[in-house]
Amino acid sequence: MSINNEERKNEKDIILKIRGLTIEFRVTRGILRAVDNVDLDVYKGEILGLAGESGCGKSVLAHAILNLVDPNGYIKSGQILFKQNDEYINILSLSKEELRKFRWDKISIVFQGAMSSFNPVIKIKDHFIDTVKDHESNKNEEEIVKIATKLIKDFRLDEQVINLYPHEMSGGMRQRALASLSFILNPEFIILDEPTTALDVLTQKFIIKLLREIHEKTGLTMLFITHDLATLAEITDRIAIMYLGNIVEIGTTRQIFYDPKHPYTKALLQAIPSITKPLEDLKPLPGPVPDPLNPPSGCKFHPRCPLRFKVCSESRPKLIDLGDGHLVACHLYKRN
Amino acid sequence: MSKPLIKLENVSMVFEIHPMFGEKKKIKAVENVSLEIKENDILALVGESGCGKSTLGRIMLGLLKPTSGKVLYYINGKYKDIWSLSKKEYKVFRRNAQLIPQNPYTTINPMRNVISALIPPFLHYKIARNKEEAKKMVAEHLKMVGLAPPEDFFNRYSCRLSGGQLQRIAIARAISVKPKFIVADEAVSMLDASLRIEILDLLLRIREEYGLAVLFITHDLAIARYFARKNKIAIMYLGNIVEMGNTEDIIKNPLHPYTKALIMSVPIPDPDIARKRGLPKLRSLEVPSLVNPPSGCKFHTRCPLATEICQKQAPALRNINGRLVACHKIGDIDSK
Amino acid sequence: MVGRLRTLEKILFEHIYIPLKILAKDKRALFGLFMLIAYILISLIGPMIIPLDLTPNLEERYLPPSWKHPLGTDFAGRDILAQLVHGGRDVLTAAFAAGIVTVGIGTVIGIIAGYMGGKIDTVITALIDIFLTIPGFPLLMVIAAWLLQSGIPINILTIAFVLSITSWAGLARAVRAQTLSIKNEEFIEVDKCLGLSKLYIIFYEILPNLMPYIAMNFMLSSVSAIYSYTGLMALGLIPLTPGNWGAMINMAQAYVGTITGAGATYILAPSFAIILLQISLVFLANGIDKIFNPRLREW
Repeated sequence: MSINNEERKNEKDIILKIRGLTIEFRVTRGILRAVDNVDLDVYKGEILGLAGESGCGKSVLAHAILNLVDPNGYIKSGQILFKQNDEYINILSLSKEELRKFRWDKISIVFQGAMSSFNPVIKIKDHFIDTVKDHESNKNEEEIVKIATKLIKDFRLDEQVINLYPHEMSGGMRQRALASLSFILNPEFIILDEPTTALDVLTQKFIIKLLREIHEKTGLTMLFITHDLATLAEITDRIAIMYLGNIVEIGTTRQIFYDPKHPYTKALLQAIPSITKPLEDLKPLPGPVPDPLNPPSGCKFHPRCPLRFKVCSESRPKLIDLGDGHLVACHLYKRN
Repeated sequence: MSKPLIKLENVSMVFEIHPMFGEKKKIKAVENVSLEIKENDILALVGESGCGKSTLGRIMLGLLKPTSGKVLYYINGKYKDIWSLSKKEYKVFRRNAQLIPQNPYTTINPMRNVISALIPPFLHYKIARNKEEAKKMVAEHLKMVGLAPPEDFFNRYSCRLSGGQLQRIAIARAISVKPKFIVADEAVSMLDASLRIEILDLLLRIREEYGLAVLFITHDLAIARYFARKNKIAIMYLGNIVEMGNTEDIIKNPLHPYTKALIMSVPIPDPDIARKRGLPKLRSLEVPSLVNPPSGCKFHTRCPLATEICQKQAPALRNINGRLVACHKIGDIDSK
Repeated sequence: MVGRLRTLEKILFEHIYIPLKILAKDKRALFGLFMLIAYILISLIGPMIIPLDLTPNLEERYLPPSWKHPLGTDFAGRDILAQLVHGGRDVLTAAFAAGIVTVGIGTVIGIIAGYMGGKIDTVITALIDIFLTIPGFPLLMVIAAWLLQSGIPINILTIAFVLSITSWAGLARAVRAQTLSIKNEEFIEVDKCLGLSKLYIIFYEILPNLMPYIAMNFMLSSVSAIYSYTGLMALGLIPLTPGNWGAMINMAQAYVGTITGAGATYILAPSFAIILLQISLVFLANGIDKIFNPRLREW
């Protein structure tokens, strides 16, 4: 899918629909609403970026898609509908067994911090074997190792890695091995949660390019979560921006970077230095960062917004379509 | 033309690890580095994790004694090694070299409150005559770094303060004794992207006011460019400085293959530009280990230009067009 | 004058009111605190209200609880409640004295090992390991037996020292580990840059971080000391003092032998007193962590 595609997307092409999702956590000081009434559509075959700063809820949202919310959190309301055979099933209402079959086979996830995702006492090849056997018990081990080796090599890891234990590899190697593991069952949808954050810049660039290649070859749908907006510029088709649990803007990559509508998106882009942008164009985003336990009334961004007016502190704006697929949640804009 | 305040001459740092089983291992964190920081100047020290930049910063501050080489400080008209200063002279140096650390949450003891952490330096150096005066000075400094009203912050602990506020306190602590030189070690890396410029602007302002020299350590080239835009930058790889010179020059026109690869890989928040860039032509993605570094030029295992000499002999920093580059292949007409 | 009043207010506020407020949220810790205060008060005031009469009254042996003798009488017809009340002082003093000595030794040794490092650390760690491996109570029995025939006067202080010989090592190890981990933190590096001295770092940076361990360990060492002290006495290894709970158990065990029927209170009362005190201290210990660790507070 080209990034310049501004045609109206067809209803049929939506592979994941999130409706009214609200997730809360019980903490010592009260109840923290990490995800607040979020609606999101993911189109089949696209790479969707989910960006925001710490505490915006993007990681919680992503984990919820596989019903993996932390034990001290709970899904207060909402549905996560995944398209399967022309029907939508609500992932949140799957039984444990159905969910187990579903995970990794249809949707898989590459977590941040690869060390804790591997079992330290079994070799990499056994991770692959176990995963496949869990889902498709008919493949034999040799076949699995063959496919695994090919995946490992795709990620520019040495063949021998397949026989190593997780602790014998560097952090960068582990992250790549983890990424390759998520492809073993040919899922339709992959969630990548800060997949490149802990890596050095050179490896990061390589992985991004590799993901693009894989995407071009397989048409896989990807949800790419990161706090580093700049990494998304190179790979995503569309980007959703989150702030304190709400989605404030969704648009194509070019729309977001070249024509941002929401004041937060604009401010964010102006506050991030790059090696090419003239330094005079940069402007700090005024603080203070609100307390997530006690978010501002109305539009959560209003205390820091240079363009706020009366209604902004009173009512929360809804995501509206400005036409050509660009959505904003801001009182400055009216439906087109 | 201001004179150098601190000079490192052929400084090397080798760490020894004594594992329970197995032989002693040596890690060459810093190898044969010479550089100087002039009064009132900024030097950005850029490199990926493990390149030795933090170690170098600690050596400059006298917190680590290098295994070989000299750390020279200009005092009483002469350059003297800080490890052979008299008690009196050392006290002068100690006061003039301060640190702003990376993690905002461990910049003051989490078990102590702000006022108890900020008062002691004022009393130790007799800048204030008693606790009451010291308190007033703390209040002034808090205001200077943008924390107002200061009394609100006196009794707070780190867990109740945000990352941005804590870094401001870190800056206040460092300048409380009126130093001449500050090492900022990844000072904004753990802050949200939108907050970084604010803190950097604050640090730049304070630097102006106090006439400070700053060693700015970071892995982020864009941040380095922002902070040291009119000054110098040094790029480190596996314990060596590979290129050093004017920030804008180096970023617009990098000479060393590693610097070139870095600049090609840094994410750029501009979709059209980002997608056109290719991958740097590296021979390997693996960062060599510091225990068994490559012979000769440490980058030769990954460098697209490497030839026999690169494997045999470590290149010295040579002056090419007003900047220093450590590479055998630059300066040759056919290496372009 | 006004200034001094304000400081007193501040001290009271910071050191009594706030800790109480924090503790109040933990019901069990509050229970522990009240019980501890009750024990202390009874031990201090009780003896003044209830006189201890140790003259044997063989006609009133093993009486069941009644208004005259709320907990009955012992093998010699003496009131059990009176003995219990008088014995408390001994037990509490020994326990807290032992607690203080244990904590003192453990903290100092732990900090020296952690901060100095090198050969000193290696030697001290070996010492800690040795003491941790030797079973506590048996060692105590041996030391107590030796003490008896050594001619060294046996008073509260010596007993406190003896009791702490077996319990300092645990705290020393924890303190050493904490010291090691804090030694390399960034705020210590900044302190060094700011020219603050080693002693400052130990007292103002490391020690506050150790307070949760120290406070907890003080409580728990006291608990263990109560157990050891009364145990040693129950086994007759240290001279019996009148009314001491351990002594009571010793006698009860020798003379009664059952926990039902007549004389049951003789063995139950002191045992229950010991257990209740220990439970209270443990609850209190768990709640104390919140006072010393600002991160655990709810505001």
